[in-house]
Amino acid sequence: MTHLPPHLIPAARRGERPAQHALYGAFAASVFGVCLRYASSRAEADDWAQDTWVAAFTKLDQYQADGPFGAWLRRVAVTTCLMALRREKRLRFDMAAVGWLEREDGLLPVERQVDPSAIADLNAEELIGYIQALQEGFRAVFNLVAIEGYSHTEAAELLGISAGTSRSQLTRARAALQARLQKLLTICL
Amino acid sequence: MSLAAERFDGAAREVLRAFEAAPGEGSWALISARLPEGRKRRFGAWWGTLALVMVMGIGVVAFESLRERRDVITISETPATDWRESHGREERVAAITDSPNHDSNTEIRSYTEGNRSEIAGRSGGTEQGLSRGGDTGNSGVRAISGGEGLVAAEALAPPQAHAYAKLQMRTLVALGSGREVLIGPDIPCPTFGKGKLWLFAVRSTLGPGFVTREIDAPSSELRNYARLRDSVEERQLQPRVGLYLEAVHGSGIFVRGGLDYRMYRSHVSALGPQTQTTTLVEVRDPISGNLIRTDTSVTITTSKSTVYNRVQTITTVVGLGYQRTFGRVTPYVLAQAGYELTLKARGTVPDPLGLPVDLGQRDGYLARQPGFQYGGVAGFDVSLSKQWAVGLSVDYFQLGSLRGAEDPIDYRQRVLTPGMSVVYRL
Repeated sequence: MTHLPPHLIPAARRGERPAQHALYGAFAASVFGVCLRYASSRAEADDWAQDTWVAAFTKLDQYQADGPFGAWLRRVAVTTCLMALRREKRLRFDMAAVGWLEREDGLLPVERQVDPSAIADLNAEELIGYIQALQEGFRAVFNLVAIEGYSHTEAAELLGISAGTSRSQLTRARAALQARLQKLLTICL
Repeated sequence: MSLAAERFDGAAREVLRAFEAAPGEGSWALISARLPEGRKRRFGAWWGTLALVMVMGIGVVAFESLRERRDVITISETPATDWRESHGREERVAAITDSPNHDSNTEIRSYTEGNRSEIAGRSGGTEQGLSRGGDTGNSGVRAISGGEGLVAAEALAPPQAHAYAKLQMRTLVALGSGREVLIGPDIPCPTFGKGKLWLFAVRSTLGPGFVTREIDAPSSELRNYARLRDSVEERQLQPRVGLYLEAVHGSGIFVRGGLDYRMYRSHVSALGPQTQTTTLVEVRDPISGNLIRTDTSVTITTSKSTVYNRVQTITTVVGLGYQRTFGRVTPYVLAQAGYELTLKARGTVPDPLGLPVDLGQRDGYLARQPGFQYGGVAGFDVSLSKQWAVGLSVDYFQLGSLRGAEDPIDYRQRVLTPGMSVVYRL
């Protein structure tokens, strides 16, 4: 948890550039990490991170000091990324049946499932690489629900879809990730 | 959600929980360039005080003038019946024509009704009755019709021939009565005597300038630098003092020429290195003493230094305008052009490599180079006396290309200056 000097946020609200720079220094890596998960590439994440900071400093008046600043900033980052995806009409939610989808929860049959410890063995960059390779709709739902901890209702509201669609997209996202991990393990073995 | 799915999500969440990655180089400069500038004081206290004094001064003058008129109104109002009785006539005044003749210093007023008419006039201070049986004689009547046919007449003492000054008369609605009455005297406006087609005046103007500018980067490589430069340099109000000579023609056309002194003020906030202190805080169960979690506390300190940039210039200004006088108020518009020279500069701006450039040492780098400019003025003057007037105006100047010989980026700058003027008529 990052402790900020108490005067920093009021000064940033007033538009004082050094205070804004200090906030940027404290949270730039965290914001960029969020954007990287939603984006398809590093360059795109860079653009969205910049949009996030501009939005955050512009809307800093809306931040209530009752919660951690970092959490508020992450929400701004998530919203900014989703808005960019929606603006570019890249959020496609493919409802077509997936051939390898054999279970309701989206996981492969038990005998073909990947041990979750295999994910734990991955480093974050590798896992983000797999997430970035997902279709935008899968990626957005997986990030929102599985990683950020949003409920399906909240995720559906953010994405402008129904909760049922959110569930099905998460199922497919899990299956796609499992399949990729399975392929990786096969190659490694 | 199945247990397996939960474990799958949990494992992914665990890997990504504290994931952070460094953004690209130069991100902050791009963000900073897109952020709005900090909230600034709109007017310095001294500008506000000056404006207040100016407004109060105009208010006092206007009040004094109004009080003077009200005195005249009180003295001069007389019901029409009195006028008729005092002259023993039955006629009603139907119309009044006020025809002051400036050349002969004569005022003539005519009253007509049906086929009857009479004219009362003054010439060189001598009252004359010019009508059929006219006997206004030396009564010195100054009269005007009211809305209900009433006549307000002022019985003046017979004026001395040499003491009767030409007065410009004006009608106003008398306070509280709703009737038009004759008022005066007024403060004389500058007049053009016979054979005198030009009036000359000296004008001094003071005002704060608001500067906006557009940066033009000659290449895409320099675009980020231009943004950085624009974002770190925060512009402030620009004081401006002008001294001009004006020549006003009788037709209302006037020419103005003079000098403008301006000071372009800005400050550059330079951020020093960041110091980051990380403290690990262990949170333990108070009973068992077992480690529950470890919090990381990060404190970041950034030092800041501010450099104040001051560029002083002198501008030769010439203009052509048109003015028209309404009572004591003279609105005018003026098109003007100028040529600006840099007198002195101090301060610092960053170069494309981020190194400081001392403006006092490297004239060639200075963005404020001599340049042609053009613009306009709209304003009005209020006469306080025959010689003195005060005025308010808004000046706009579009400055041309301001690229210094060494400066890799170019500026197009606009200056909007509300000005307060003092005018002395020669």
